[in-house]
Amino acid sequence: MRIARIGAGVLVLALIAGLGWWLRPAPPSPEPLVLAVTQTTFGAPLWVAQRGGFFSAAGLAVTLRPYATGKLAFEAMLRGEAQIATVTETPLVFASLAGTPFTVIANYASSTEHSLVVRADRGIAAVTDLRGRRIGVAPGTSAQYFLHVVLTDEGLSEADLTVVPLPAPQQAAALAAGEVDAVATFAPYSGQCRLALGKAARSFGTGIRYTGYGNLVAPRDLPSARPEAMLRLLRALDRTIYWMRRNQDESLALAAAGSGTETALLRDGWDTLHPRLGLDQGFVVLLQAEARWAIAAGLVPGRPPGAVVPDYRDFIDATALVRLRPESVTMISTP
Amino acid sequence: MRLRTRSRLAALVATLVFLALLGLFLLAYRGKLQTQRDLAVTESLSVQIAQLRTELFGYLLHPQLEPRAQVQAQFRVLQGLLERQAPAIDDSIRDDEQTRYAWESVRRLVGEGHALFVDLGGARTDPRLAERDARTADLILADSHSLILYVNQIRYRASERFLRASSWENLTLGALLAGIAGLGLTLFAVFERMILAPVQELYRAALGVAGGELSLRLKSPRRDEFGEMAAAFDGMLDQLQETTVSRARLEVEIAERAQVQRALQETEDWFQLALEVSRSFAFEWEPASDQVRRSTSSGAILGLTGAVVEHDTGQAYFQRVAPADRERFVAMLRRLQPGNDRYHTDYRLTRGDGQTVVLEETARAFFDPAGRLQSLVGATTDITERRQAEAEVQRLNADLEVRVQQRTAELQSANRELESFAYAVSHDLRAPLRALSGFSQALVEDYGPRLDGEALVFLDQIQSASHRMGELIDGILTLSRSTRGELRREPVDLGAAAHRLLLMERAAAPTRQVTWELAAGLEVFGDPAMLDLVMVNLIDNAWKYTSKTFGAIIRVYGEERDGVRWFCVADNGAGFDMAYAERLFKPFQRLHRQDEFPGIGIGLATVQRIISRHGGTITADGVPGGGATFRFTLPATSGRTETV
Repeated sequence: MRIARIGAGVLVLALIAGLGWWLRPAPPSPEPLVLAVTQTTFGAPLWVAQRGGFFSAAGLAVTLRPYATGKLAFEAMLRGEAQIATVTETPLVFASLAGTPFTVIANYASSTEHSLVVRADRGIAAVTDLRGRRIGVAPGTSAQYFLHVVLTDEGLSEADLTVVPLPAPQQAAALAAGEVDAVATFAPYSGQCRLALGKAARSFGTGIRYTGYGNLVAPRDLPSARPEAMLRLLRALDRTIYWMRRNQDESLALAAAGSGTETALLRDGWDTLHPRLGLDQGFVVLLQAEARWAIAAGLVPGRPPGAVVPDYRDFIDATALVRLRPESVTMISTP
Repeated sequence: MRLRTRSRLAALVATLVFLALLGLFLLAYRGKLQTQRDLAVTESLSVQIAQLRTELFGYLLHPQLEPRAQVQAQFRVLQGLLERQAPAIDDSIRDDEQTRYAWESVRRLVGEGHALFVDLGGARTDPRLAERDARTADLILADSHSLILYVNQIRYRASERFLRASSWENLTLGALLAGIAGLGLTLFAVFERMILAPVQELYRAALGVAGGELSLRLKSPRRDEFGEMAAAFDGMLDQLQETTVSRARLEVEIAERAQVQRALQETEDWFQLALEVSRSFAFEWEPASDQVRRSTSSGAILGLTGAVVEHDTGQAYFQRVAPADRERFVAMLRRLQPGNDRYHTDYRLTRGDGQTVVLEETARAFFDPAGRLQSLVGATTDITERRQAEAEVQRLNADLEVRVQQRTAELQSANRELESFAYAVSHDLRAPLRALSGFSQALVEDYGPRLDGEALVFLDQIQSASHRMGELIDGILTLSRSTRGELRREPVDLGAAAHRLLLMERAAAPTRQVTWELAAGLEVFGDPAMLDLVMVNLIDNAWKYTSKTFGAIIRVYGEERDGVRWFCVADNGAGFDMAYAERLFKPFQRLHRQDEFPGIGIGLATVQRIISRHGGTITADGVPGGGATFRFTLPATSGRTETV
């Protein structure tokens, strides 16, 4: 009798479970999303997310398109080749000053990886030795602002030397060929330069005095048009970052495989990369500082020195991140 | 399971449950204390950061040495605090990744802020570093802002944990209290089930037993002390009930015994009454002790009173026996032995009052295995009155005998006279009758032609009447002779007689078709002449009354009825109406007209007298037109001659 009762109970429970399974809500259909991703170290979390299956797990059908730098990826997005781009803050400052509409969804990493690689064999032992030298830099990238910071920290300015516009992928060769005495660049190109120079290479960084931000940028109307896709993107990245903190080596391998960058080169700037979802006040302050610099340096056509700096809070849409992790949004919002 | 084991088990379970709940509560309480500590650390950090920021702003507004030293001191305070609280901070992180990141960020920002602040102020000596200072100030401000927000995050999460811990503590406290209450209830339920319920059951059962319900049984399925107690209780009730039943049975037996006693007494009374009425008494004599025990009725018979009525000695009794009978009586007693252990005798005895009574005694002797007389048990009846009556009867009989002899002599004399008279009448009447018949016939023969017709008719009637009168006289003579004379007892074959008579009838009337059936073995003892006369009359009647019957049958046979042998003569002739059966055997009584069946009505009367003289009986059965059967008995005696 007792066994019969238990059997009946188990049967009823099994029926209820089966009914629940049968009536379960259908999984959300995957959201298609195309991302233009930099092949620099900054792009690592995206490649790990893709390779690690975090995007598909979050309900996204993501296509990653690699670009040599974040600036190129951002430009591709602006051309409509992707809905989202990964890019550091400097190209955004120039774009904002040029009146190009975009919106930052979140910072997903910060890094102090920028460095100045110099030819020590040409008697450059300190930053101040750069006076009068030729320095290559990819214009419009964060390396350009980094160079400004390095120089000004040492009481120099761009006027004290010759800045040679040099796309990042060509910098190592140019440096090795002696076309320039130094380059201001970022990983993994800084590593390429050091490899190219061998023992002749010497690097200078800024440490915490300049921290670049890796950002997820989208056309201005995308967050409101596809809020669910934005949320899923951030959730996928959040989980990826959490996983990366515990699985550094595996993350590195996945990022190298995804981006097509050599592992050794990627490792070069890996320790300075701090993946973290957020939108903090430091980012806004940096945008403003860079904008002031760009205007003051006359780098922006139509923006004479003394021109008004844009309110960068207008270029930030924190909706998705507030939905996901409200405590990560620490910037001072519009009153 | 034993009560002690159960109690221990219940106590163990209760203790375990209580300890488990208490452990949960203590755990929750410890968690709450920890979160309180986290909160305290965060609060203190928050206060220090607020002070840092204020001092930082003060320095940025008034970049002088004193505020700068204060900011640096505050940075050191903060760093010292973080170092001191590092273990508490690590504890507070637990597995909360956000908190961990927030703490790491706080540490990083404090360190970076301090480093940046050290770099700040270069512009005072080198104006080219003004932009650097501005940028550094921006970084410090942004970092301090982030610092506050991170600390707030930590505090928020610590508060969250504190609230959760408080809720958990309240919950566990509630569970602990509910558990204590539940344990109390459970223990009560266990106590109620283990002890109270069986005690109440026992209590009710005891009340029931006290109220007389002895059939009540607990039949407890329990296997603990209460089960044993219930079993003992049931056993006690079994014994109690058995005792009660035994008492009831005993009472019934006593009642039955009393009834038997009453019946016995009644029988005894009846017996005594019977003894008194029959003037008898019972006795038992034991020769060894010479003690005699008698029934009380012996007092009135023996003329005794007092104790000697029921208890006496054999010697005393023998002394009362009349001397003339005593020797015979004692000799008879001495002859008693196994196989001859009974006697019946009478003797005379002198009563206590001096009168003599005649006693009749029947007794049986009992012997021991050695053949010695052990006791004599019997009954004695006072037959004095009977003896007197017998003497009177004998005397009367003697008188009667004398009178009978006298009467017989008188009767024989009268019979002889009657026979003489009958003979004389028949003889004397025959002479004038013969003269009457002879003269009337002579008158017809001699003067017939001269007489007219009517005279001849008268003469013929005289002739006829004379003839009939002659027959009547013969009949009277025959009847008279049948009751007189010597009655002989010799073997007579009634069948042979019947056969002979029937042959004679057939010879006399050869034209008649009559069938007869004669049984063999109809031999009797009797007077041959008289029995022949009986058969003559019966066969003659049968032949006569079947004269108008076609297929006439006459049967002579014997039959047994109630152990008596009957001899029958039956026919299928005219028969008779049984209503007039009594008239059949009376003289001159006839049931048929003379012209139907001629006769004088004296035959069956003669038959009856002969049968009666033989000591037998005769009956007749008949149906008008259906025939008649005559049955008679004859005593089977032989060799005796009776003379009347």
